[in-house]
Amino acid sequence: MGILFFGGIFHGLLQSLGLSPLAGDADLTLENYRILIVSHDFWRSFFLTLRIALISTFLSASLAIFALYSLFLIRIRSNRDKSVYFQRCFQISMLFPYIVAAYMIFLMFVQSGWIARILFNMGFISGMNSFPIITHEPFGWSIILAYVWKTSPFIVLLLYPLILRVEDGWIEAARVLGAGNFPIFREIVFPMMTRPLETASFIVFAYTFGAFEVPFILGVTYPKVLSVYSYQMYSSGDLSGHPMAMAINIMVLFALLIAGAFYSITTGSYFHREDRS
Amino acid sequence: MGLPYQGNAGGDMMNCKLLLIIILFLILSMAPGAVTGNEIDLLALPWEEIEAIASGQTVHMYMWGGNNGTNNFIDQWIAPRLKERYHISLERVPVTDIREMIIKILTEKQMGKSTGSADILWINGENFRLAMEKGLLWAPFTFILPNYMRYVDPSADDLNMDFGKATEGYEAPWGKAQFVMICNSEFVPIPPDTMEELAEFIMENPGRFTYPSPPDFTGSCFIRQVILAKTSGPGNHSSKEGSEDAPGRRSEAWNFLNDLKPCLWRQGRTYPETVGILDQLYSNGEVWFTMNYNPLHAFNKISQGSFPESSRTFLFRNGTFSNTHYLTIPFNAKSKAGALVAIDLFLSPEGQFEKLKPHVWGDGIVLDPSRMDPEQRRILEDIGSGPSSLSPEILAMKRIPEFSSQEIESIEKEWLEEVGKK
Repeated sequence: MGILFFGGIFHGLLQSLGLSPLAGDADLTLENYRILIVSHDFWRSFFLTLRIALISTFLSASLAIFALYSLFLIRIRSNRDKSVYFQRCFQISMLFPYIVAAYMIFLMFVQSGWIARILFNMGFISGMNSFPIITHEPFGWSIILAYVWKTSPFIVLLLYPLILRVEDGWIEAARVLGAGNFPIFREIVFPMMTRPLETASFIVFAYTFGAFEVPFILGVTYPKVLSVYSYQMYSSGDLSGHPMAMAINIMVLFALLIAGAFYSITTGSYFHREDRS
Repeated sequence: MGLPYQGNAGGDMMNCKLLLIIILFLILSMAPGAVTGNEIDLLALPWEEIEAIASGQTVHMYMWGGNNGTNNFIDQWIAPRLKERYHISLERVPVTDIREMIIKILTEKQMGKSTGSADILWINGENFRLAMEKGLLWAPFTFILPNYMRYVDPSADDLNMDFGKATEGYEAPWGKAQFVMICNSEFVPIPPDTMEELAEFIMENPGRFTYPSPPDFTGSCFIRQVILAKTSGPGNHSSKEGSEDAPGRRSEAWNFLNDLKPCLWRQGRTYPETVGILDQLYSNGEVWFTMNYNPLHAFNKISQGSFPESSRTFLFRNGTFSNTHYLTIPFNAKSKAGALVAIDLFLSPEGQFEKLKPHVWGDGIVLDPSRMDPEQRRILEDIGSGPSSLSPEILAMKRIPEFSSQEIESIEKEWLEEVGKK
């Protein structure tokens, strides 16, 4: 597995540097990177991708915290088993592949989609055209929607065991001291969660920054997110686009490495912390 | 001192020569040429012997697997007959893009791997060009296929030229596709006859038309139809005149498409990424037109219940692009004899008629009806379709050969700059 993974990256790196086994000629060059860095299209794609990934991560984490708070309420008001059951329900969207999620969002939210038809038939909107444009628009709302729907259960899944670790005695002690549900969550549960939440959010960010299917189905013709832009280069007629496509992929990887370094610096040395779940 | 030295020198020379001969022999026996030599002999054998060699072989056919009709035709019609008549097992290997397989074979060639995984490839256009340029195809083989020799018109340019590249017998034509437009007759009672009429309709009914953005194959073809309408009159076009549509002359087409923009779906700010998305918008009633490279697409979609019954197929007066798709054998195929026998069955009249049936696949035939006997011609005429489709005669009258694949690529890139980004 490791060999395939790193071998693939290495091969991509070589290709992006002009050492393509397929093209036959081998000149070590940074020309592909130079073209990208001065290219307006590349930076438009880059910032679009960054914006979509950041907003998705933020919304996904927020929604996950809200879900966790709800699970926490169920946990302290009724019982453990019930909250486990609800937690399972939250995970339903994890069963679907991303491409299915994207297609479902498309079917539901396109101007002539299910939701628009339901609203139209119920008389809430006067015509399909008055339904807001959610899919295939330059901001990428539908892409964000698909990512949030898919990734927030993932964060819940990672953080939920912490809720089970909260012991009844702590809650009773807090109540005796006069704390309500929300202060208990804020003061006891949430501090336990911050570190795993940061990790989970970083995973979500890294995924949404590099993923392909959702923006391919729900994105606009121009500008495209980096993965789709790279795919477009790669799949163009002859093989001449391959090195450039690989250069884009390496740039994506590079951006994620920088983000990863930034993440580990700002959060301190991760492996020595004791509050990992 | 001199003599022994000379003697030694003579001995060394002898040894050198011997070594050279051995090395040469080794090189010759290792060179792919030697292997190919044996297989070219296969093509010198009488057909019965090829059939005998093919018996018991397993043939791996790599093909785009995205069409159920095509897949079922191969699994349920071709494969059982190959097994029964020739004891050949046909394994269909679906791929999402045959380009991946071409690149795999290219890698196999560079690594010197003389036995590959594929025996038959389903290709055309730029993939064929790439495979030819890199020397990935086996040999000219069509002349040995009995059905090819009997039923295919050897001088038909739409078969011999694959997107502007001469096939030279390295691939056998299998079927034909043609670009068609589809509209919902409930909203579009009279289908437009020309690009100008279409533009007029779009201007009068804003928001009801769009086309997939390249590199989607169908969207790219619509753009070529626009270029055709704008740069040359009817009948002026030939795929062999490669530089006919010099970039400067395309500007009129880009102006036309840009002028249409405000009246397109989403004011032309974005385009459907694939023809599948366009079909979905059409099914939903959000747009009134769609398009396809399969003339029976509307018929099939109506049968599946996803298109409205009122869907109609139409063409432009000056014709629509058509292309041929082919079967070929890679240089390192393991079961070349089996592949030849299978391809011959694909070209048999019964195999061609079966795949023409709308409920099977609806793919056009490559055989020349004038070479068939009357009984076969009668069967051919009986294969019809519903009111949503056009007859094969009308389609044939309006057929235009495709641009060359390099030209298509440059058009796609230019569209993105001149239209897509604006």
